[in-house]
Amino acid sequence: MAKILIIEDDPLMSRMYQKIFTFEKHEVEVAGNGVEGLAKVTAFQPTIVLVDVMMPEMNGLQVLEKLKSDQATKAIPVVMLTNLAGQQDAETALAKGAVKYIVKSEHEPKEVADMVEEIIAGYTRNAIPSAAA
Amino acid sequence: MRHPILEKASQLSLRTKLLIGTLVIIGMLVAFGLYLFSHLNTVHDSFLQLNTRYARQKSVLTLELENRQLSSDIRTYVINHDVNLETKYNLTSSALNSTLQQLKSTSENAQEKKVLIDYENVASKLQGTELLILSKVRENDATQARNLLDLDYEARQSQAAQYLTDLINDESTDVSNMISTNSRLVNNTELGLFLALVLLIGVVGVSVQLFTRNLVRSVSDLNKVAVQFTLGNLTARVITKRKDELGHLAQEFNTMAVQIKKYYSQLEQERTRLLASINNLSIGFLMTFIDTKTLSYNPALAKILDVSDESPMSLELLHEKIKGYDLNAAIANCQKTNTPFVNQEASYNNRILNISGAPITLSNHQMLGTVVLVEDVTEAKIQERSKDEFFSIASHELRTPLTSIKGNTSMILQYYPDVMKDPQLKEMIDDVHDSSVRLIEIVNDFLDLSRLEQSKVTFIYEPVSTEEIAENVAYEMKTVLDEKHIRINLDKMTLDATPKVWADKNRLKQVFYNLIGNAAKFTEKGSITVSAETVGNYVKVLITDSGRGMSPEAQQLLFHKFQQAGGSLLTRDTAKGTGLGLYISKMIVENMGGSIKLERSEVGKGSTFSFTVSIDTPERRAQTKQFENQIDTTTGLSTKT
Repeated sequence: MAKILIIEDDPLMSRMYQKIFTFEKHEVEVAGNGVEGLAKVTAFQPTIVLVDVMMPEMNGLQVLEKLKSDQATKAIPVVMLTNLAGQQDAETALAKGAVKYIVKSEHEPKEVADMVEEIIAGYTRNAIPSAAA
Repeated sequence: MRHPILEKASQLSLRTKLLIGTLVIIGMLVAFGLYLFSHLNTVHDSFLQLNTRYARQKSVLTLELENRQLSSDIRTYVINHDVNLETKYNLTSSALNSTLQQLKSTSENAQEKKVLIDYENVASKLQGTELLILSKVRENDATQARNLLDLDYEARQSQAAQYLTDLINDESTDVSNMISTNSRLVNNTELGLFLALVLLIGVVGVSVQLFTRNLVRSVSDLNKVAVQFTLGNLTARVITKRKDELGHLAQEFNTMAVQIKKYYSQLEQERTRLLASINNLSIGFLMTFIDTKTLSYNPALAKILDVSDESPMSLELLHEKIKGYDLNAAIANCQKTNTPFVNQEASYNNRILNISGAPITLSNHQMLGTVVLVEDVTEAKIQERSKDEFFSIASHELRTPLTSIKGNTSMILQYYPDVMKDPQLKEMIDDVHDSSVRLIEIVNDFLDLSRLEQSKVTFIYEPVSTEEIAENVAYEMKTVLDEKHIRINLDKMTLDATPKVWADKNRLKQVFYNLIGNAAKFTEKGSITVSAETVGNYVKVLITDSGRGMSPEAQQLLFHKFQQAGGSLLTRDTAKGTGLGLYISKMIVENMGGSIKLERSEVGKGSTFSFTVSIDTPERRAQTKQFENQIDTTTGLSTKT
């Protein structure tokens, strides 16, 4: 049972992930953009934050930076979600402090939930996901 | 119209004219000389004649003297009876006679001759008388002797004297006539010579004048035309009717002028064409020259760099205008090292320019300057970027809804077991889920393919062990293969024996996946064998299956897009993928410098596919270094964000 904050601008995606984590019995909070997301981090104090990379105004990497530079939030693990399977972006994200970089289209929601639980359990940092085969 | 003779004359060559002129002058001088000579001769002759006359006069005078002498002698003799005088008289008398004879014989004048004869007569009578006197004296008859000196004798003496006087007077007259004739002659000669000289000088002077003036005029005409020509009037020509050397010179000049004009026109035309082509280029063209600090550039460049006519371009301005890129330094370096340079993305005024420059050298390696081409590639870059963006947007936009479909259906299947008890409903949701999975695959394939085709894919090379990859893939595909009861054999010995290859690990894996996957798809049961061998600078990987095999017709279709070994469009087995797999593998293998092909296939027996990869060598590493670009492998986005 963890508190999961999902920062995702696409309602399709945010609804989907909200469901899976709810089905897996976690407390889920959703934010539609970076600014709202950062506010909710402070308010909600999640166990883990899932951030979509491609968002208007403030993109996922920028949110990541903000979170990692803020003393209050830098301990919270951040997972990047995206549909761009970019090697470089993944590396950048991980370099900036993200714990994982997940390509949404490659995993079933359950797999994602499993990965998140694993992270929560041990803060494991996995290898960069490989490009679509 | 000039007289035909003059016409002819003017056409003679200069040399001939000079020759003729010289001959004429010589002739005139000769004539002059002859004239002089003959006149002098005449004068000489007349002087000779004068001399004769003078001699004659002298003779006559002598005669007179002698006569008087005789006379006086006789008188003296008569008085003195000097015997010596007789001798003297005889001498004188013979002298007189001889003189007289001489005068007579040399007389040219009848009149004179007559007088001389008359005198002779008188003289002989006188001599007779004198002889008589002599004898009388000898006889000492002085009185008789004295009587003989009578009036007759005196009268004869006077007559004789008169004759002589006449002679002398005649002579004198003759002489004075002759003298006056001579002096007239001399005067005439002097006048004649003077006139002749004047004439000579006149003729020579005038003809030389005319000749040289004619010459000078022609030369000066030529000169004028030459000056005109030099000043730029290339149509200037010499007009001449001369046919002599100057005429030839004029013609040659004209011919030369025509040639020069022709060459100049050609040059001008070429220059115009060249200039026109440069000026009409839509690409900016700039030239710098080593010797002058000036720049030349075409209108396109001015337009691209916003150069106005008021502030024309200079090197300083150039430096200023292109921020972040020191064009001047690039140009200087280019000239120093004699190498070209290029900056594909210079930013300027919100536009993107592709700047490339090269040194301008002559064939003798002399460096003249630099030529720089500046192209506004903003549109192209925008298009490129929009293509880049298209890929990323397409991948994102397509995948998002597909992910939603896949994720939601999967969650339905998983978390609504009660509802899923309905087999129809479950099947439907399954189908939807499967469809989304397939769609995602297709989208991935399409995007991958597009990027590969456009070479927007960068291969990250490293030393890779084919054995390792084969093992990974075999492991990852275990489940699928087990399901189909297909065994996979990795020929460890051969795989191990081959050296490491220089390839993109992920992409290589992709090829393995594709070929092994295909093998699995086309094999109902049996095995798949993966082996390798070294061929030259490559490692050849072979994947053999014991599946259906392919007919020759089907083999033709391999490696083409969307072709499945099934034949017609309608017999597509859409369950077996999009048909892009082999094509994508081909692209990957070829992009990495290798080749892929069907080694053999037999219907009912199976097929063997093979592909080659470069062995990890320093040469191959060097080759691929050039192709390294900072482009993301899968999104095609430039990593320079």
